[in-house]
Amino acid sequence: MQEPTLLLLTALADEPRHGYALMQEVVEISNGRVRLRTGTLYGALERLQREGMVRVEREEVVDGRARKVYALAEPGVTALAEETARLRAVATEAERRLALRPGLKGATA
Amino acid sequence: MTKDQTDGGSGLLRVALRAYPRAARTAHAQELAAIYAEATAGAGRVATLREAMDVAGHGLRLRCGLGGQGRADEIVARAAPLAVVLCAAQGLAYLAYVVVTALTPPQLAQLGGAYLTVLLDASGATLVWLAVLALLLSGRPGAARILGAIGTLGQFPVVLTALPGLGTGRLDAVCSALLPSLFVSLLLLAAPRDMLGAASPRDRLAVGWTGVLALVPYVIMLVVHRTQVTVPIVTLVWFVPAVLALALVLARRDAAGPIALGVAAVVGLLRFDVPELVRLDPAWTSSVAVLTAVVVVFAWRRWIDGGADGRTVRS
Repeated sequence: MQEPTLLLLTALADEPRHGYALMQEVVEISNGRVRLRTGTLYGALERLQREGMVRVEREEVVDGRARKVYALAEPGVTALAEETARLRAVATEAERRLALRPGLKGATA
Repeated sequence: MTKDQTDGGSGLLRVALRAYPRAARTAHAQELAAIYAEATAGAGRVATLREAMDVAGHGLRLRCGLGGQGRADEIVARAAPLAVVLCAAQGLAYLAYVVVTALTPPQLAQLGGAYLTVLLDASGATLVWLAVLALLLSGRPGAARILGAIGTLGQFPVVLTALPGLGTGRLDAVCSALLPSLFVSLLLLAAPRDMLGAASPRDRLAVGWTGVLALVPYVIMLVVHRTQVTVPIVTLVWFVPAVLALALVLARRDAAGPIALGVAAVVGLLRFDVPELVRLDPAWTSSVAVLTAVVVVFAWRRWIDGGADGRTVRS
């Protein structure tokens, strides 16, 4: 899974969000490293909808503009959980191996 | 944000939305405008312009048939790093040849200023594609796309300046120097930014093997010194994966990896096969070009509609 996809699914993990809120969440989760622009975000959301990972929760009108609120669908929850478990396994193994290095003992605690 | 900036921002959005096919514009314009308005609120002119360009890029991708039901997005995104590594590796092999030439002063002295300009262009382009590859592998696709596009644009004046002095070498200069770079740049721009890169070990392995594949023609030319033998082999090396990819698309086979490799192999086709094709009898050249165009357009349409048969698309 590419990082922007992981960040988008993570941004939707706790609650449904509209497009701009997702942009902000992605910036926050990645500590400002990843910034999805409008077209890229919209294309990614369309693709994730086609794949069944994301669904439109509801549509609302704010300041005269219609916008959709997106939510994580069940396949998206599963994919995110699997990717999280994979990353956690790698991180745990990396920490274990780093802890074996004499000079780094306690550094990863 | 001043009123002028707000008006400018919405004007840019109107222009960007024109890049969309009519149906997509009708369906998505309101929401795109809502996201765009919030994303550009308080932003400077440069940030607003980049946002509008990103919207236009999405529209152009839809207009080209990418981003639809099929796996075109995925294939283009997987083909782009492979094409970059092909371009970089072929450039490195070419530079190795140049270094060998430089070690034999009589040969170097025979080269005119125009040929030296083309060599300089090849060196610069190779460095650019190596940097683009590094950016892709380090997860910076946006910077990779910008550098690739700027590098390719920079090649045009250099090669055009050299063309008058190249004589019979014009065709090879254009096919070797410009066409591959132009193709790879377009491929990078066509791939969705959020899918670009080589994140998985499988993708990195594919990049590595493609780099090795890029060296095959040079090894053949090094070992076999008879052009009547090497030319057919070198042209077939790139022809086979490209034709195989076309066949897979036409047969609607779910094989994104080989199709992506076939798309990337177009870099080799442009560099090695197109000059040979153009040297043929004009009637032959025209026939092959028309036939290729028809097959590619037909395959493209099937590719775009690839998801209509209900296949799932994986990320």
